[in-house]
Amino acid sequence: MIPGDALVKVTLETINQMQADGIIGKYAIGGAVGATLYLEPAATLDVDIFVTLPAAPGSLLLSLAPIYDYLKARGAGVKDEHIVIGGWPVQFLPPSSDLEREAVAESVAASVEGVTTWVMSAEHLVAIALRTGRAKDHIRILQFVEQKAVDRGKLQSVLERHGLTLKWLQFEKKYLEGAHE
Amino acid sequence: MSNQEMRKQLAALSFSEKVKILEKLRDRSLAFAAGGPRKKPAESGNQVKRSKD
Repeated sequence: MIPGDALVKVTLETINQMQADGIIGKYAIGGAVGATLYLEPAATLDVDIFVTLPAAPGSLLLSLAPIYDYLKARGAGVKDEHIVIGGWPVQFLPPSSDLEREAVAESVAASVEGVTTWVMSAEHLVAIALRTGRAKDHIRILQFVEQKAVDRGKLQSVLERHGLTLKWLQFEKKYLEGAHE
Repeated sequence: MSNQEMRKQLAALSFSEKVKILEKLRDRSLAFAAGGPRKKPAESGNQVKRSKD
């Protein structure tokens, strides 16, 4: 890959085409690229796409195989758990909880150089980061709070709906106590 | 400009502009990973000219 050759716009155009062709259902960008809609850009090497998949007829199992087959037929390469589209490694993640399903369903429209795409709401990104709970997730939550990029009322209701209130109180106690004074 | 102001300004950019920055950050990370940071050339007085044998 030549530096400067990797374009998110191309990645998103391909994913939108895949959606139009019926390979995937609704999708939403999460992770660091999703957070970029609300925060300052932070270095990341991949794109996390949470994607709903149509179940194969007669099967209850969801498979990422149709995505890989579709994209490989169009020249995409596979690298570890990622598939490289437009030069960007993309990880397709079927929602694994009600929180992630809601995050995809309630994602917001955004545009990258004229290409429409879907990004998780700030409140869902924070809730998912809280549940994931790695150090980098905590840093991201703090950025959302410090930059007032999250609606605290909406966040509260997402946290309550998904049983994360206690975890949030623990996070607040550890990282935010005294921050509002 | 303080770090805080700089972050505010960056956060206020459009998604397209921020994605452009993401692309540059990623290119830079990959360049570092591939060959490390480019070293500054030594000052001319200290340079050793290499000639092909």
